[in-house]
Amino acid sequence: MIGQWTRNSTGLQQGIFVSYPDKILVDRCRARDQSAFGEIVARYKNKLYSYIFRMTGNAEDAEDLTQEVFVRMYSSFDTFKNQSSLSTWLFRIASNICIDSFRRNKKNRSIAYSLDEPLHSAEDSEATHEAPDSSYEPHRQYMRIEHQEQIEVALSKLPEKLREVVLLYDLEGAAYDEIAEIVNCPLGTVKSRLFNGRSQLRKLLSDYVAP
Amino acid sequence: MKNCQAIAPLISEYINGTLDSKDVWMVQSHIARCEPCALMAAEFQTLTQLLKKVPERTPTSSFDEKLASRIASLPQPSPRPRFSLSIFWQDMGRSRTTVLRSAIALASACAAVLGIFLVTSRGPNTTAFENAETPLLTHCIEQHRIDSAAQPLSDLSVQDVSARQDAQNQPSDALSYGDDQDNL
Repeated sequence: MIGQWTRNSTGLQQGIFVSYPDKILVDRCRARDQSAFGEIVARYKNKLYSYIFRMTGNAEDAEDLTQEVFVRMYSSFDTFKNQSSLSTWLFRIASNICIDSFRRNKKNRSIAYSLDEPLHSAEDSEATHEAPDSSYEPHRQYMRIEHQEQIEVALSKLPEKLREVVLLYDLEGAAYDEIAEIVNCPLGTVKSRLFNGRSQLRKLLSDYVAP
Repeated sequence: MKNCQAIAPLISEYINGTLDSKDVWMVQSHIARCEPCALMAAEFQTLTQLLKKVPERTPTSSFDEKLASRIASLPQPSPRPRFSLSIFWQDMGRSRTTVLRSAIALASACAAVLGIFLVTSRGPNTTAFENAETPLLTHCIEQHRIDSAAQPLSDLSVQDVSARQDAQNQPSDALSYGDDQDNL
């Protein structure tokens, strides 16, 4: 039916648009193609979830907020003008949702990491921590995991404005101008926040970055 | 030579490879001579490499199902009509003012051209110049006749133009004052 999303009983469809560029997927979504929407979700859900989790510090909230990003995207394809890339648009929505969440909550969002928790939040993840044992070799794996946990803790200690720029540039690989559009600030401010964020991380992770 | 305070903020961009060549040379020259800035550059380099290796987090396996339920519960949008003036006007957004101004300017220009066309096309085989100029020329001649009759002078230049022209047309006994063109 013209104007209506095509649905089926299994929910989101994925697969047939795997190799299509984002622009084509957006055009297909405007034509109410459910499979194209499913492909966009598959492509971006982990990136958005990672970003939102590290901004909010709470896995359950991050999952709800990530879904909210896709719901807002679903409802506003007709108003997306293709002036920016799909990823910039999605992260812009995510950034605004995080700001709204901060304003609602206004609580300390430092993350408490436990060595007993799996490294990944997925239920079927098998990455776990191991206690140091000199007779058992993968201390290197332990060191790597410990590094990563310490990095996550250090990231959580950054002020939100610095943290989001570091996440977008160093973890997500966004360019300066994309970040400026996402967080709605000038290019110079992006560079300044990145420098300040890295400077603070350098102090917090001095044991790991010293040559 | 720039001091550390000026160079330090550039070190982050230097590590990113986003500085232009002039600034790259400036930073390299500085860190070759400044140990604290060289240390900062090395530690930033290590930090960025560590951050790149931080693994992506993943949501729970029920994420897709929950999202599909949320999407299904949204109200279906009504079919968008092929064209609607109100939707077109709404989509114009900030361009509306520009379009309005352009439309008004175009309408004014058309009205002006039409007005000029109507004024200039009064009768067949006549021009506006001729229609405007003939009564004016007649008036000037008449006024000159009146003025010259009121204050006659011996100066040939104020002789009645029409009288002199009449005299010019009588070649045998008319006074000849030379080429009239010199006296006009």
